[in-house]
Amino acid sequence: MADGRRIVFGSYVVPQEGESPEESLLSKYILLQQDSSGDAVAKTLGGKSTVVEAEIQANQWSDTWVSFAHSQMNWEDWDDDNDIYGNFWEDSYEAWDGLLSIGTSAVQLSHSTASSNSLVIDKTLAFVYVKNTGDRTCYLSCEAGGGSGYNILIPSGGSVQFRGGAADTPNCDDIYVKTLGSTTTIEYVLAKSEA
Amino acid sequence: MATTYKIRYKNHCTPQEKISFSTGERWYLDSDCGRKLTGDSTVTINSTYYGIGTLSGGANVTLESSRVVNFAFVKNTGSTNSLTINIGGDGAFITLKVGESFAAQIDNNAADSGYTVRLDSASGTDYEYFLGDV
Repeated sequence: MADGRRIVFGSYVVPQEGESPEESLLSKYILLQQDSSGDAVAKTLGGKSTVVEAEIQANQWSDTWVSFAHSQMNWEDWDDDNDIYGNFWEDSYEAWDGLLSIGTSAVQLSHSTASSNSLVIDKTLAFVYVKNTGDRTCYLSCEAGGGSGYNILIPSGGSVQFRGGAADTPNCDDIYVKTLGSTTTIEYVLAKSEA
Repeated sequence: MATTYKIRYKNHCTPQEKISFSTGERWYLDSDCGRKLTGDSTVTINSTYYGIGTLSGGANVTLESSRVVNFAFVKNTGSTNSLTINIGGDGAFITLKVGESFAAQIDNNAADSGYTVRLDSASGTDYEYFLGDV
């Protein structure tokens, strides 16, 4: 087991503008110079930070805190026999190819109160990363029960990441994902902050 | 004058684990994960909105006069205090510490209609934003 963990994370945005060419060629794009109201942009945008060791547990809630395993992981490393959230065959909710299938019925990745059917049980999250590895747009909710909180859209190939929260506001411990049509797949990191 | 706009954005993270030795400690790529993670996407938009601002302690602002947008980038450019993103006034309450940013396509309950972006700060901070409207 690791003696400590941390997660370095960042986002990078390139706003671009293009012109329709005179000839029937593909448009060429350059860095966006001004926004729609004329304010200067002319730069890429981004931020970087770290979920530091004090904010994330060294001993995660299960080996399935990430949806995939290291390519060099050995079979005997799957040794968490805790009921429901362990990684023995009968306990695991993990997608064994490292990708979790998502359909129109919401999949509850975690929530802030005890439950027997979510992947993370009653743990405050330090960090959430979800990538859409399929070819269908999926939607992510941070609201208890999913409800009307599907306010983050993850397109095919795209990802989203953010810090979790405590049980009170701000609260990003209730994580649900769904699609509107056919299925897609996701990979995820659900790192808890409490033992 | 440009006629088309698009935003390419990436979110990436690198989980790491610490191993302690008698002589000290070292950080490695997390062995449960085994790789760096990243997502890359591009969204085509019609309008863009860039700005910077300052929130005083306990204050909030809904960006661009409560405009409904489909893409949001927000960065906490302050030096001390945290910032919270509240998409549409409900749902996600995402905390940004100093230097952190959030970039995603946003929506109103999976309706493909976009949503507003509200920022709150309990103790006050500076922020930068870039929004896109499909």
